[in-house]
Amino acid sequence: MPDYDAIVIGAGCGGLSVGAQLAKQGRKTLVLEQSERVGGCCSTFERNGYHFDLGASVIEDAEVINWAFERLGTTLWDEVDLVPCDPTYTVQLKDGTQMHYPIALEDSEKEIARIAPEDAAGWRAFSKYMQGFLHASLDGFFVQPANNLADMVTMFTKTPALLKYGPLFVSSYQDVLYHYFKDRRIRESMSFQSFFVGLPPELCPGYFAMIPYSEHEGVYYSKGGMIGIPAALQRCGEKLGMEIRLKTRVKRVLVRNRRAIGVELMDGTEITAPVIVSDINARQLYEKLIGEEHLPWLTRIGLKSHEYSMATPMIYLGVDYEPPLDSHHTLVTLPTDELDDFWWKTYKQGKFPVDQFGIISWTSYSDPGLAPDGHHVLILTLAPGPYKLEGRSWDEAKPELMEKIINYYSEHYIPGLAEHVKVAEFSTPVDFERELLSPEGAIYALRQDVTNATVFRPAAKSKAIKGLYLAGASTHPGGGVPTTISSGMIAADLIEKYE
Amino acid sequence: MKKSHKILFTVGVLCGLAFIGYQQLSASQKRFVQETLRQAPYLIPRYFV
Repeated sequence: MPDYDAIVIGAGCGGLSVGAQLAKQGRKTLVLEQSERVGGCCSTFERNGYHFDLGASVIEDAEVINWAFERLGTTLWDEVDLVPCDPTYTVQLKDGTQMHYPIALEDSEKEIARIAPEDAAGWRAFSKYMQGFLHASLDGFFVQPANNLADMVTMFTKTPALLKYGPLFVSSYQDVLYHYFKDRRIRESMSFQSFFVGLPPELCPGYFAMIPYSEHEGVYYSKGGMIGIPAALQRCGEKLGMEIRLKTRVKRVLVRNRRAIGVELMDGTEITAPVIVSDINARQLYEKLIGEEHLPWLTRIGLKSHEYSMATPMIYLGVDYEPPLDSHHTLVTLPTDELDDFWWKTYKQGKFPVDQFGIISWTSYSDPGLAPDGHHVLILTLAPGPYKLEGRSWDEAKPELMEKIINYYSEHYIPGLAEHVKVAEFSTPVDFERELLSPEGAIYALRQDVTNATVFRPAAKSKAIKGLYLAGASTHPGGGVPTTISSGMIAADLIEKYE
Repeated sequence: MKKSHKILFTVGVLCGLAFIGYQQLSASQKRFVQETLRQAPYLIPRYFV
């Protein structure tokens, strides 16, 4: 008699989503998490009274997250105190131009027209096209399994509207922006978002160009910190009987005759269950926790061919003044071609410059309770950082780099910053790897281009090991808060169907 | 013309058209195509993961 009906490895958003839904199905479910808190990249930690979000700093596509809560008999809005972020972001262009993108499409159109009147019509056409694509994707893509070709046929027959957007699958993010916008500043203002999926504009698939539009359907911050979302999933799951153990690391998945039968913990304890769900990096799962001896040769080749996604160094700052910024998010960006050049000439060469670009998240703007009275929280999401730094290790470089980057931001984007820092922490790709056990600090698990998507991403229902299912960023539909939560819904549906 | 020659001729024409089309792309678009083609051999193994 197995100890549990299902064991979930990892309490990230995907793991908690599937765990809670398996409990809802009436399965005795255990979630095992190696760290001391839930959420993975969507988590919050405290230092000297300041609360910092580890990775994710807002959510989009709240509708998808809400579906997961509806399946649990509640709603996202009842479970999480969400603060709308409007404007979606302020963007600081390299030439000094500053733009604000309000939620309302017509207000953003006015902002675009202020900079480049000829692109206002492009914005209208872009918005209309991407609105159609986003809604077709929500219905037909986000919560549909993509395990095999039959699933793909089902996906397109259930939502034939997706076929209309075929050109987005064979072009780049950059091509899509260049098609709709002529002015380099407008293009620049929407280019950085390609890194939200881990690639520069010229390599990022065209369908992700919906991001600058989807932000206008609503961007929200979870009051109290982003951990509010996974904590709500945990709470709902526990009400339904889901059990969760923190600081419990899985050493390996027990496999017999190519069937998962349980897990062994680091202390040697074995826990059995007929269904194992992994919310960790798929390469880590198959190569380390399962072992290549259990995998067919073609699976081994396919697995090794997956590259890890980029890592994102971050600096967490507690400050004793109100920073002179305008909104929750400020994007500090570069012209589109310079973002591409950065990828090849800097990031791929193992370099990490001081003259940075990235996101400034002023989270205490949306929730002043994140810092002591009169103080604020700023999180600098920096440019993609190489796992192996040229010339020296991250640990050696960290103190000096942090000081220089804070000074750079102070001088260029946040006047007074350097004089008001009370708490500062720098999380490098190596720190992410140590803390989240995410190989190479990859924040989206595996690279996310067309050749790593849908049926070419590790399957939610394992093709190599029976009784093994995947959720999280490694599987369809990929990395991000709403997408990993929907991967949990997909895994739960597959388990209900097959187990 | 033999059937095999027709096939070879058609393949040759298609390759020629693809080459001409590729030459029309910007440097950025060429890198997008190159990166996609670089990973194309792994599509079948990836399908089995």
